[in-house]
Amino acid sequence: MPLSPAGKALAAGRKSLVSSYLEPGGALARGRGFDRAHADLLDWYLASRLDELRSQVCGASDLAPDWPPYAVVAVGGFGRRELCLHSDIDLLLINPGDIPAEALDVAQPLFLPLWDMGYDLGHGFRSIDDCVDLALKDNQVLASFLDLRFVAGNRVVYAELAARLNAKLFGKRVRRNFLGWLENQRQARLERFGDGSTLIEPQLKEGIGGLRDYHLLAWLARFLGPAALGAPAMDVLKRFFLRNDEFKNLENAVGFLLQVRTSLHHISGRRSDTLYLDLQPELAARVGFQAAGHRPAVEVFLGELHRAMSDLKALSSAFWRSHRPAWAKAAALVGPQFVALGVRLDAEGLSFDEDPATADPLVLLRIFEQCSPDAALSWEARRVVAANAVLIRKVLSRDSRAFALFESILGSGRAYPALDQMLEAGFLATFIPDFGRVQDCVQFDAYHTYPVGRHTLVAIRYLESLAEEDNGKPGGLSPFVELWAEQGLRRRVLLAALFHDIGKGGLEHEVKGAALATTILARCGVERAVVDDVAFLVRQHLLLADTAARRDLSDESVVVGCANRVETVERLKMLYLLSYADSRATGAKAWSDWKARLLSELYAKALRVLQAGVFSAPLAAQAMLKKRDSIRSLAKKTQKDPEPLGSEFVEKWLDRMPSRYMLSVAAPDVIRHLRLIKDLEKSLAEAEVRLSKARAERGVVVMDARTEPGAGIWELVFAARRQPGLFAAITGVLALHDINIFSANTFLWGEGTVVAVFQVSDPPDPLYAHEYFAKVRFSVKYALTGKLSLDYRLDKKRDSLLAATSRGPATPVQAKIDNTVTDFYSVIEVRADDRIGLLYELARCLEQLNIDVHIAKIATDHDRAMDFFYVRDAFGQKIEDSAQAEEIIHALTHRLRG
Amino acid sequence: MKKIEIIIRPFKTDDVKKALTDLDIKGMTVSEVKGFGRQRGHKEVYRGAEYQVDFVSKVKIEVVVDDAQVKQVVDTVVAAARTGQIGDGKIFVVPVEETIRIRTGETGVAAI
Repeated sequence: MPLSPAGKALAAGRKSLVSSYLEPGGALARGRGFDRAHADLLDWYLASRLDELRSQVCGASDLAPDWPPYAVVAVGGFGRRELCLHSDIDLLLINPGDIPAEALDVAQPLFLPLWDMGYDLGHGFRSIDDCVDLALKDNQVLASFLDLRFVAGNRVVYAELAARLNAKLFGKRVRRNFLGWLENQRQARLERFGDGSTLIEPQLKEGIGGLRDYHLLAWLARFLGPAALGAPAMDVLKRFFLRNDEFKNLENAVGFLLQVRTSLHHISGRRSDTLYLDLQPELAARVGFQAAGHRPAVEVFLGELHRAMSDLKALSSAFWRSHRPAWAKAAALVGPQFVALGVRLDAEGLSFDEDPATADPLVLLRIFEQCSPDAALSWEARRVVAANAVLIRKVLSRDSRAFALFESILGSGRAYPALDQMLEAGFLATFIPDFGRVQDCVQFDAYHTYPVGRHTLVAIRYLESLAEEDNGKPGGLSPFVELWAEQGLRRRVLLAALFHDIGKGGLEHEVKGAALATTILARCGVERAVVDDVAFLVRQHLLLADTAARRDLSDESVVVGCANRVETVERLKMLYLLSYADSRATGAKAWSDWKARLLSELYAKALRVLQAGVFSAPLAAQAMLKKRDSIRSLAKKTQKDPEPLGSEFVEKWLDRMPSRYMLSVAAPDVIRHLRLIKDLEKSLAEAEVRLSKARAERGVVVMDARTEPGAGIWELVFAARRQPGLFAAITGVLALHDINIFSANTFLWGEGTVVAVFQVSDPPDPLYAHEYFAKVRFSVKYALTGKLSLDYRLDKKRDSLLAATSRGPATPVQAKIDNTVTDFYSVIEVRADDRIGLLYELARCLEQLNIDVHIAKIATDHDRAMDFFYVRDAFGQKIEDSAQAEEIIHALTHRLRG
Repeated sequence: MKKIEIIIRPFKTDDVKKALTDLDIKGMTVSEVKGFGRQRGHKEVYRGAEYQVDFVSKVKIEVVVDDAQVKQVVDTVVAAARTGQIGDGKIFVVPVEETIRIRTGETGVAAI
């Protein structure tokens, strides 16, 4: 249908709005205010379109002034004049009586052009009675009617509708029903978005602190205030409820969110409310943020966004708590209770009985002491805290009594609700100004879920929850629970958790943080010994996690080195707890069963070293002799089995086992591996029947897959004759089958047999795991005999429509060779953006350079893969030649480019 | 353009529909179908007698989307439809040659 002049003008107007507000280089406020202008444009269009239709229908007759008989009204977002680029438009045609038969002819010319232009139209043609009925029946409809606004057409009809709605909607029963529904909506949203899993990619509308919070606020205000329709929501809030500064904050936060949302619509090309990771940098630039010092533009932007969203959330929840009608509040309280000196608890929350400025300023802390999941600060109390910001910053932050009170809150076991309220009310930012400086810092990667402030609080919460004994997971959290039970450690660990990231926003935040922690604690009168311990913990808070993930834990010197840096058993225990809390609170990728296992292995070994002394570990030779004896005795026990391990067989292979294998693998596992070798010999014998000996070796691989139930980690052991490409083939096949490799250890038994032990993740389908791994075994065989091209298959997999799109920033590949880590190997460290088959690419490259990989450890540094290869060259030596080392680095970097 | 054929448990229809509309998918086709997978149906006891039920009732939802949206749609549907039990269903991604809107004659991605 060709567009009328009004339609054409709308299309042109929209285009010009987009180019002036949203296109880079546009003159106006980078998208802010677009929503208002857009709504105005649509108002204009609807009025002009009605004029056109009027002249079509009535011509110049005297029916003209009274036409149309219906009103065009806006509800919902359009009613609030907030139309982001691709928002849907909620329009209603209101007829005084029943809908006429020619309704379609009337509505179509109005609606169709909008549809054809690509607008998402929520439309309806209703009688006034219908509207009222629907609003009373369905709370969603009622909510949309609360933002009712006249757009064009017959004013009388609109006035009648408004009057009828005003009469019906604000009665007691309806009000109760609606507010109860609002409460349910709040709860549902909290459940869906409250756990922080969506914080990496904020949900601008439905998320916690999103635009919905503002809508809820506005709807509640309308019921409590004028109890009538017609006035814009913001005006209602300003006139009846919010002080000037509060209103300004709200207006700013909402305006910013709408601005971001509009830009998001523009970049995605459709209605979208989730700020995906790969869109964030571009969005930051579009909205006009620039880099500040070390921090890239996107981090400044995200910091602002989180600040706006948490302000909105805090405002909305405090307002809701205090202002919802009495019948909605917890019925348990009879009247106000005096819970502490100067603090009162009533239906609205915790409030001050005395003014902190004139009475005892410590009451500012006492009120937080009373916080719990059921008791939070009232609206008034928040205002008092905000008003006393200067007092807090200048006086309280240096007062040792205040800090002692703060510490008692921290150690009370109910610190999280209190700290949460402190964060929301802005108290924490003024009480510890250095904390306030970093609390909104966001690290832009797919790894850190929370901004620094929230992350610190979540870490403390994880520590506190250790006091609840509800984890019976085998080898799961119980060591932490036991350690937490040692009360003497708690104070220092909690203080360290509070300060551990306070140095963020620059390089080497641990060092900076330790210095800041020392200054702050000393200033607040904390004892020297405690300050020293806390500073140590802050400085080393990454030590255990880094060592466990990156270094070879079976190497004595690694463990001893770590133990030396920690110095005492007590510090080790505290550091272990802190590492747990920090990793867990960072995000989903930072903590896994594998990480927990590595960390506990390091902790146990370091503890042994510290408790028994460095030189008390049995010498390697003795240990090996003992191991051989236990292997022999276990082998003897298999005599009764259908397939016994004969002593000749065992001795032959014992002689061939390398010493590193002997020392690091437990005896029962050795027996298992010996059985595998027996299988290998059998398979080789079968193959030799058909082929010559040399040919027969190729592609014959046996495999054993084992796991502990619920562990999430499988151990795959491959045994084969030594052949080129074995290690790379295994890594490639595992990548192709969507199995994550955590670590790999290859042992050369004697001259020609390789035993490779891989620690991997669960297969995608745990139900059919053995079937899956059988497929893996065949694929390795085919890869080695040329029936499967790993390069081709992995490329196809990467190009698939279902492959993960690049997340987070793309950073250059970093590779280096370190000969100082261990005496036995050169360590090649590669950092690159993770992708399918990364380990395979690196393994293939190394194999082509004739480098033998003995150990491979895969760690993640934020959202990048960090692979460590413990290698030797073709002669079995470390890579001492610097020219060769350089060549290897170039080869690896080149392989991974693009 | 790709057509995404989604076969799910009947009670998950609303969840998946909501998940798709949240992603701004504007149209879909739904049919009631029967089928089975690796488990080849299940045993049922009816009036005391066991008998093999081979075909299980499922719901099939078909949507056509732009290539760029395929991953997002698949991920969302998987999250919405998964229960972790046998019988959760499957998703097929099939290429689409051309799309035409009958009322206006538009073709291509704009007609989706």
